[in-house]
Amino acid sequence: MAVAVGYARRGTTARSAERRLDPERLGDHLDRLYRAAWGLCGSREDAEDLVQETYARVLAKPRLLRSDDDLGYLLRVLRNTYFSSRRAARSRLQPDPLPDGQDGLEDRSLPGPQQALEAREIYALIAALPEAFRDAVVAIDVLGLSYREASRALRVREATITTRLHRARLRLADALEGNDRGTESVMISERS
Amino acid sequence: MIRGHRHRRVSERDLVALADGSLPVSRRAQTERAIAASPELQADVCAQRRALAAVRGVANESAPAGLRAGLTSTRQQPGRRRAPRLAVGAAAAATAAAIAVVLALVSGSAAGPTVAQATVLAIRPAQGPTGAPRGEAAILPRVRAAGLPFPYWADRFGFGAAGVRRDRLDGRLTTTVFYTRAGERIAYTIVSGAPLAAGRATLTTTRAGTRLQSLGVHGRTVVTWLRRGHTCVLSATSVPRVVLLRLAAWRGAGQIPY
Repeated sequence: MAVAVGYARRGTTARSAERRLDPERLGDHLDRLYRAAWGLCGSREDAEDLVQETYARVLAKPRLLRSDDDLGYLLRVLRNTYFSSRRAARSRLQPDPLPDGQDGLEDRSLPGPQQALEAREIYALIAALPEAFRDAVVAIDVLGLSYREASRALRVREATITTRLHRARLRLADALEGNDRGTESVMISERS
Repeated sequence: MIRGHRHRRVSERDLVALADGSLPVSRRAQTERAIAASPELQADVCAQRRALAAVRGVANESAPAGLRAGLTSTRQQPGRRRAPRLAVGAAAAATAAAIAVVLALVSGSAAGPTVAQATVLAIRPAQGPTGAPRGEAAILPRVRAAGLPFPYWADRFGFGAAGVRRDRLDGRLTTTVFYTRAGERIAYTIVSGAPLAAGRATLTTTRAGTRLQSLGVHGRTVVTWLRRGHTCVLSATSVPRVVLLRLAAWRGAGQIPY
């Protein structure tokens, strides 16, 4: 787990327990980090920007980690970047998001329409959770960290993480049920 | 522990761990017994599994190709010197005699985004449609960047405007219009603000009084130039460089401000 992380200071020798974050391996985590960013932002476009900004920050300087969990460290940078960019965005001109259905170019990495719809709904529900609950779901269910790793990355006690995760999942289940009810009523009204 | 004395041997941690499969074997039997005896706990675990299944169901979402390309570009950011590179394709070779070749070394400047970074926007999908012009207009209606209109190429060159997207690049507002013609796609990005550094080796030529630089980025042929001080970036994978140069220099009988 990346317990303490910092810049590699010039002229100092890293302690033996520390190692440098390998920039070449950052691409290995891209998909998972992108999904985590989507869960934080609730929008695919914002998630892209957030991940790009996160990587730009991480790569700006050499980073020292105390263990081998790059992902936990990246989650922390992702969250920090998310909060700071959200603060900055309040005072900045925002491009208007337009419907995804109007996408005009093929991107083979993109999912099919039905899958994209489901993903958009689910990530939007995650993003709409209260912050603490959302962080727990993103860290454990989306990113795949263990409870211990998540508690270290988010700097809260493990018991707190599991409690939050429990409540977050119940809220998500309720929200999903609400969505299903909505879909069902639309289908019924279409049939009648 | 949750929900009073009846379930005091089952914690929330046990429930979340049972739902996601991380509960240790030593706790499993006891937890399952407690759940079997309680409809309330059964509903709890069912709800958690439903939520978890939904999240895991979309866990195969991959990062978009543009983001992956962006990571590569970020990794290759200036800050360290690289050897000069000159990207010259077959089309470039054919017209090489007419082109003044300028070798621009990687600047290493840390100030502002580069043309290579702006090119990444070309891989992203469009966010919305563009309108068609009225009459003989050589510009697209309603789409402007830094006060500059985008050209209408459909009648003259066969490239119809397929969509538009807007982004921020290092705090700069960017607008990209996508043009298509029989399977070929061109992205035209205008980045507002001070000129961007090419960041790579470029070929420079002048057409109709406009200085055009061309380079290769992520397998795309790129032509970049300035319009009223703002950087324009034209890029495509399957369109010859000479075509991009011609499009870049076209002024639509004076309707396209340079």
